[in-house]
Parts: sequence; structure tokens; C-alpha cells
Amino acid sequence: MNCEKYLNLIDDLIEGELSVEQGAGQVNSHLQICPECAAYYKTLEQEKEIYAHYLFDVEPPTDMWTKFQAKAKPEAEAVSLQIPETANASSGWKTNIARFFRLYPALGFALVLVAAFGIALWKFAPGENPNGDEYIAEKESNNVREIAPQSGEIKENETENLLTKDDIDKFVASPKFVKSGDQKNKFLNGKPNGKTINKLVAVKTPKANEKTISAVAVAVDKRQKAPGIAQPSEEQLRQLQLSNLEKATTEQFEKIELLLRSFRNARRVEGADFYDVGYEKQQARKLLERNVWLRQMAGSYGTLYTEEILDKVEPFLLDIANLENNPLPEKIQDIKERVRNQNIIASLQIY
Amino acid sequence: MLYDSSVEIKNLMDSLPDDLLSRAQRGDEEAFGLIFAHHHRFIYKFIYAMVGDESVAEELTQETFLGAYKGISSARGESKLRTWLCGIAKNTVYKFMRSHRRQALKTDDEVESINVVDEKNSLPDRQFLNKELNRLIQSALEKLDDDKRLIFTLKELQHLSYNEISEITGYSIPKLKTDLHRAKAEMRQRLAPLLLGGQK
Repeated sequence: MNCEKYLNLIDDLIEGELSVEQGAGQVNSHLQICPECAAYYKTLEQEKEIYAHYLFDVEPPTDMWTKFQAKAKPEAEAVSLQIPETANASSGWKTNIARFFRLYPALGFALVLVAAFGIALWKFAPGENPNGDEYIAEKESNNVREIAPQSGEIKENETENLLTKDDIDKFVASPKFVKSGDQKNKFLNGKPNGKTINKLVAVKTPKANEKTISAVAVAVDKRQKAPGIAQPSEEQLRQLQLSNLEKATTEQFEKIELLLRSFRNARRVEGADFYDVGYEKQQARKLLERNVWLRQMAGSYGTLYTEEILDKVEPFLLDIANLENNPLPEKIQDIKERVRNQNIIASLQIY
Repeated sequence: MLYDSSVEIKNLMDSLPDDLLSRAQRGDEEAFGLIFAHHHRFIYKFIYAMVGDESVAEELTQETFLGAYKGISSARGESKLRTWLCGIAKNTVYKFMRSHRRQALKTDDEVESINVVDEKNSLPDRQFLNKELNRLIQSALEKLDDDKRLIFTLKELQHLSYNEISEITGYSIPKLKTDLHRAKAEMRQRLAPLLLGGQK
């Protein structure tokens, strides 16, 4: 028999990657008549059963979210703009930059570095900000020039005046604000890079008679606040709890399904008239306690279908957990039959 | 047919509110919290299977979600969220493995010499067996090369589809199938004494 062509298909079949159109029926028929291929299929099936246990008990620590919150440090988004104080601001941008460097050498140096990296990033990854959190632009007189989508060492104590959002809105709405359509729209909406400007800080050059103000707008990324600190609304809280319940239920069903499959495959102890189901009993006890809690939660949240399935599987967990140490084959068979007749595994799958 | 439920379970796990990603992209902390809650377990298990160490798995899971947090704007589509996170996790794991190459591995002889049945006791404890089994699977997994371990983990242990794995790894489906077949054969060979023992 030419089994060669079936081997790859058997691999696909066992992986659930072979549809009827792709020949699942044909392979199944072949498995009926070819003992070698049937044995190969059986081996793959047993391997899958064994591998399924590998990650069964692997669970992440429960405080991962708390640790994550601590790690997600605040990151500010900065937008540096220069806006004209009067209509006749006319000093050249080179002069202003030179002055800026003279007066704020450290800040200037930082900006140059940022600009160099930023321009490189901007060039090679247009429209993409790797950090996704910071943005700097510079305006001199009538022209706005983006420096970099990168961080800048802009400190509050280096600033003098606070600008209002209106100041910036007026500025970016003016025809003097020359930017690409998309970026301009983001500024017009007060959301450079999709984030809200909620703090605008101006840096005034010392020579007021220059009639120019360098303004730095610090757009604080809402995400910089540690996630979870914001008080969620009642509805958000309910959604979050429901979502957590759903997740916990899914995990529970996944474990119950594995338990029932493992129980279904329990073998009689060699040379004895009873089964070794010690592991299943222990798992069932663990799952039972959780099941009761989840069922009560599902009831209180009105998720009736979830409650129904949890209710349906509970007697099986109870029966397996309460099996005596060396259960007789009849008891095992009885539970197996009931699992099969009530389509418990299918119910878990459909959920 | 075993584990045919994996697809349904995966779909269920993916059933997050429709606008969750866009909310997270707008800076909604609760939305990101939900994404974390739904996916961190899957990512942790994936990383654990790749590195075989709980504390490293925890650290790299944190790194993965920090990367996701910073780059959430580049995620495309709710349905691809798990694949996207897996891609970040894969890069994080590879980066880790490059800088901390695995230590000397156990020899095949050591695997074969492990006696999973307590000779003094005719009834081996199932829990003990499972623990031993997991240790041996981990040992065999560590011997696979990085790519084979990645594919084996995603397919055999985490039941992703070839399409999803292809998206995560960038490999073609024929290559995935070949590598998976080889990985399974290697695992079978290394676990042969154990598999035969388990089939008594």
C-alpha cells in the first residue's frame, strides 16, 4: 500500500489542519484499512496527550500586573514650538538657534542629539514612532520644522511662561503653521501623535525686544499614569470583572476538559482489578472548589449560560474527587459513560 | 481526535471587547489592563516553554508587555492581537537567548537513565510521574534548536494554526510543517523510553 503520500496528511490531520476538501475523509478511510498508518496516528495522538500536560500546571505569578504597573514608568510627550509674539517677528532662525545654544547649552546639545537620531528614525521609518510616546517640533517665525519624534531634555524649571491651549490652537490653526496635513490635523485636535496636550509651557528668550517666544508644549501622554490608578466608572468596573470572570471560566473549562480526557484514558493497574486515578482525584478536588466559586460568581453576574455549564460539570468533579483510593472498574466506567452521554466535553468546547 | 477544542478555546480567549485595541491606542489604561489580563497567561506559558525557567519567563513576559505598551500604536486589529503579542514575545525570547546562551545540556544518557517508576513501589504516584514527565519534556525541548523549539511550542503546546505561526515567525507554511515534523521526531526519539513506559 502506498502510505508515503498519507504521512504528511496524517500530520496535518492530527494538527487539525486538514479539511474534508483537503482530504480528511480520504485519510480517515485509509487509517481504517492500514494498520501501520493507524499505529502512526495513534502514536501522534498519544504524544499530543502527553505534551498537553506539560503546560497544564504552569501558571504566571498572580502579582504580574502589579509588577508591570511599577515598571511602566511615566513617559512624557514633548512638543516644542516657537510662536511669534507679534506679527512682525522677523529675526532669522539661525540667529535664534545660535542664541538658544548660547543661553541653554545643555538643552541645546540635547536637542541636537535628539534631532540627529530623530531625523534618522524619521527618514527610515516614516510615520512610525518606535517609542510611540514623544514628539518634538520647532517653529521659527512662520515656518514649523519637525526636529524629531524623540525625547528632549525639557525641564519645567527652564521654562518661564505657561501658554494656554488656546494659544497653541490659534498658532497651529494659523496659515503660518506649515505642516503636512495629517500632522497638522493632529495638532489642530490638540493630539500630536494621537495624545492630548494638557500642559503647555513657554520658554521665553531673554531678549524680549526680539519679539519672539520659543514655546515648548509638553503633551503629557495619558498612558504615563500607572495603569489602574485612574478610578474606573461603575460600568467599566463591571466590564472588567466580567472579563476576569470570563477568563477564569475559560481557564477552568480548559483544565476540566484536560482532566476529563485524562480520566477517560485512565488505565487499569497492571495485574490488579482497579484503576489508578490518584492524579485525577487530586485535580478534581482543586477544580471543584474553584468551580463552586465561579458558578456563584456567574450567578451573581447573570451570565446564565456560563453558570449552566459550570453547574453541569460540577457533579463529575464531585464524583471523581470522591472516588475511593482503588476504585473498581464499574465506578470508573459509570463516570466515563455519563461524561460521554451528557456530551460534557462537547459542551466545554462549544462554550 | 485529541485537543480539537483548542481552536474554540483560543477564539474564546480572544473574545475581547471590540474596541479594546483602539481604546488602548488612545491611552485608555483600563483597556490595556484588559489586554494584559486576557493575554499574559498565554504569553507566559509560551515563554516558559521556550526558556524553561519560571523567573526568566516572568521577566520576559513583563518585557514583552512593556514593549507592547510602548508600541501599542503599531498593533493592527483585535483579531491579530495575540499574534502580535506573540511576535514581540518571540523577539524578546530570542534576544534573551542570544545574550544568555543556554548552559550545557543534559546528555541523552541522563534522560534515559531517569527511572520514572519507583522500584520499591509497584504503584507509581501519578503526580510524581507527571512532574518527571514535564521535566523530561523540558529537557528534550531544550535540545531542539531555537527555531524548532519555537515552532514546536507554538503548534504542539499552544495549538496555534500554521497561519498564525507563519505570521509570528515569518516562515512559510511548508517550512513550518517540515520543521515541526523534524521537531516531533527528535522529541519522540529523546522521550522514547518514557513514551514506551507510559503506554504500559
